[in-house]
Amino acid sequence: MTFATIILYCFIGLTLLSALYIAFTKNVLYAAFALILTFLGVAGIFMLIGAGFIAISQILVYVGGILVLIVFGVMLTNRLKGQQVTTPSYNKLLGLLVSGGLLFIFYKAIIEANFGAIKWIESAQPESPGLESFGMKLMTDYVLAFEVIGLLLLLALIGAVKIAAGARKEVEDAS
Amino acid sequence: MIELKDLLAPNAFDPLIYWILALFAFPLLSFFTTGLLKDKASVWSSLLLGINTCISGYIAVTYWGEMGTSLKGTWFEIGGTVFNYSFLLDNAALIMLVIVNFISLLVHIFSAEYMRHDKAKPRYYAFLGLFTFSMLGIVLFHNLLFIFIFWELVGLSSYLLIGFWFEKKSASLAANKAFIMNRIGDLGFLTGLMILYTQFETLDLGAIEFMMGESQIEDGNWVVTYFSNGKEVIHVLDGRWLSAAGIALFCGAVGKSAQFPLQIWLPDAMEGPTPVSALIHAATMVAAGVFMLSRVFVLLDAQALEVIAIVGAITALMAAVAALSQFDIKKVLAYSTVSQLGYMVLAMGVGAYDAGLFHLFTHAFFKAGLFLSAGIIIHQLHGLESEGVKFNTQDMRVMGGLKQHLPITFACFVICSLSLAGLPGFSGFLSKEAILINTHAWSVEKGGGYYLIELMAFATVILTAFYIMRAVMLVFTGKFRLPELTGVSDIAGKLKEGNRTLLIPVVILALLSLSFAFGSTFDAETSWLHKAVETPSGAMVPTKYAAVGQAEMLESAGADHIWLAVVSIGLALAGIIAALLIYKPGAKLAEAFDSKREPVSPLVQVSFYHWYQDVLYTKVILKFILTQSKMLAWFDEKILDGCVNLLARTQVVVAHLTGMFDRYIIDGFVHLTAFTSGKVGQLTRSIQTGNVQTYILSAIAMLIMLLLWFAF
Amino acid sequence: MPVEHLVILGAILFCIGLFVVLTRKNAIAVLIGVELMLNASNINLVAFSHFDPDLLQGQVFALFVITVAAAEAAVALAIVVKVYQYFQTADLDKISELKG
Repeated sequence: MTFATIILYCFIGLTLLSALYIAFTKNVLYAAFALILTFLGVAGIFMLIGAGFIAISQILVYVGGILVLIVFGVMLTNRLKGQQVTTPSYNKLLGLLVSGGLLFIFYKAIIEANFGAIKWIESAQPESPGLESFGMKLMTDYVLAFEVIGLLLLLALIGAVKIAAGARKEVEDAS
Repeated sequence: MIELKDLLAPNAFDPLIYWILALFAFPLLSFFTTGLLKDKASVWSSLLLGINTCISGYIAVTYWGEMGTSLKGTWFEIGGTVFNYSFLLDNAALIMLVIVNFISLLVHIFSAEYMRHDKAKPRYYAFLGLFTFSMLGIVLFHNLLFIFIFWELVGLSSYLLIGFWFEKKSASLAANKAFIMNRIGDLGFLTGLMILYTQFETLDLGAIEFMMGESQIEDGNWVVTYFSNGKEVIHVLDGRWLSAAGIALFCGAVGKSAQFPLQIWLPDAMEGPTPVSALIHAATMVAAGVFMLSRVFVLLDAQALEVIAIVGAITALMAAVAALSQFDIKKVLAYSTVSQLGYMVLAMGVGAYDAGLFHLFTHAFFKAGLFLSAGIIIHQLHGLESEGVKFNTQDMRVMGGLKQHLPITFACFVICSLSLAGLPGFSGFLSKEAILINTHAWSVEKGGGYYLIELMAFATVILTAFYIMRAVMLVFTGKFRLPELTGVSDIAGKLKEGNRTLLIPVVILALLSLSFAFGSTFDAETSWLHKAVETPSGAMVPTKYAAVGQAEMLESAGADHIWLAVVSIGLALAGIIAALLIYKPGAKLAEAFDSKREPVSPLVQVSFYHWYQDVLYTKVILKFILTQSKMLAWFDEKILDGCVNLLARTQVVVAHLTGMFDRYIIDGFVHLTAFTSGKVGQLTRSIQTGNVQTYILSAIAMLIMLLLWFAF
Repeated sequence: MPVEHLVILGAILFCIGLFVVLTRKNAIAVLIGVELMLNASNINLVAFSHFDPDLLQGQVFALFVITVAAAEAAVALAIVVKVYQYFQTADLDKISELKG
């Protein structure tokens, strides 16, 4: 077991623990902060299994962007007056049953599939492909999808601004 | 044998096309741009028209010649059918071109003052531009299809201008009347085009003329043979269609040039602004009919020409009689136009193509002069109107003694009137003389009842002289009747002569009404304008149907030339002297004129109401149609409606029966179904909690069950 | 290390996300769950891509998923804010316009 593998398992543990914390905390803000840890853990895993670019993107987009959005969302949807922002739960038992059942099926399936025995995975030599080839791929084979996804993002942002901007007046009226 | 394609083939490029396009472009530009300008509209459109007049003058001088210059090209092709355009610049077209542009220019200048205070001035000038544009199309094109298109455009623009003051009910009604009467005529024109197209497969006049010359009459059938796209085509129609085509084409002219029985729109068209009347009567609208007649002249056979001559003579006499008793100065001039147009049409009918066109040209100048002079009078009288003083500015009953107030207008009006009356030394004499000589020759040739036509033509001479001198006397001599009628005594002092903008066009037109402008004082034959438009030698229609040539007729009646001139001068003088005596200041009729009302005596009524034609149309034709429709309505109401009602009642009974069946049996099933589905719906509805998470939960639960079922 | 471990991690993260989505009343918390689920799928994609260095399809796809997630988060939060202003609450159980 190499040092890198130990670090990897550490990251896996961090991810799992923080995710479980999200599952059981009632405080939305705590959940949001735990989500940072989860994302960081996942980013670390990506880095270690040779997906450096995705790891950086993960940190930039999720930690830098989405989490900030979520925190702002929390602030905008709760009248903060000193007390904690908590969220009640319901359907706890049913939810646990359904997600636990799904996990059981997934586990069963993964074990049955036995990925390690699949030929191309068995014969593969895990190595880091490097940023350059990734960039080349993105700009050659996947360039159309890349452009389209960029356009989608732009449209989504414009749409989000439009939806949220229309609300401003009502906020003023309410206050 | 002729190939149709060759006749229609475009000729070599000629820079003339640019000039022609320019001629069309300027009035059209005026139409589109004057609407954007406000006060400058008059200057701008007059400038454009001035340029156009210069161009037309240049073209006329350059292309003046015996044969005429023609220009052909392909417009478009559908399958093997070629639609071409063609222009013909012969002397008649060139003269017409100059006259249309020149008179339109004068009218533009005149209107600058006349319409100065009208708010809709840009619209007015735009319509004038459109009018000129449309008329130029008729003059220049030598293809009946294009002539028809521009013909309709002329109709449209006259409609727009007659109804220019559409706020006035009478103006919009008059515009409608003019348009509808023209449509009736156009129907005939269109029929003529269809007959010609059936026979010749083209509407190009040059081609039609050529093929008409080649066509023959065999056993009463009209046969044309030619090659169309390499295949030999033989068109055979009954010979009567040839006459029908000519008469149908003439119908168009009847509408446009206000001939009997469609002439009633022209007097009503006086509702438009007076300069527009000048334009309509002199150069554009009514001239279009006669000019078109000259274009198709060679296609007219003897029978059609006879109809044309008779209609022309009737119109001339009827309108002259109607002009005798009018109160409205513009109405007098309108009837005089109808009468003079009758002369032109008569000339065409008797085969005197040259005389007809010559009269068209001379008439254009003196009639425009008369109308513009009347315009000055109306305009100046209009200036006298104020808050408290209102009167009809066109009514001759308020005029009288205007000689002192408007001396230049008086002079011009008298010159133009004498020209209209046909005294030697004035242009009207030359052309009218030519028409009378030709009519006489024609009557001699035909003999019998045809002398009646000649009689009518000569009777019109004396009537013309009388009614126009009556107008002159009533308007310009005696005492000014307005102060007495309105009770304002100092009103006469305010009446002044029109300013230069008004006077210059009138003076120019008056000068052009003198006969020296046309090169000769006593003999039309020697006038350059008359010589320029020679009657086409030898009609194109098959000889069997052709009329007797003009030259032969003139020869047989040549000796009567001198005494005819004497008689016509004598008649004109007689008319003038009669008018002078009857209406001289102090005479009984002149004194009583201001208190004159609508006539009682039946003979005068015939004249005043224009032979009751309007009444005839409204009372008899309308009444006939109304009675007929009433009968139809009765039939409809009693019999058709009875059947329908019976049917309906049966239907209702059946419907009640089916309704019962429907209600108890079919509806029973439906209610049962609805009840069941309602219950089921209530059941399923309870699952829909409205909570998204519950939906996701159940979806995933279902997924798990599915996976379990598949996997294990 | 075997690929199974990463795949199982992905499965666990997904189920935790699903649990959060199903049970939380607060709309923002639900959104957190959705982000977890998206991340879980990314782990799977990248994990398999690790064994396939030449093609890199997994990584490219993961990048697209991240982008879509960003777009989704932006729009979803805008909607949440709007919903909050309309209903004066972000609790999903109180928003039951779809109730039959």
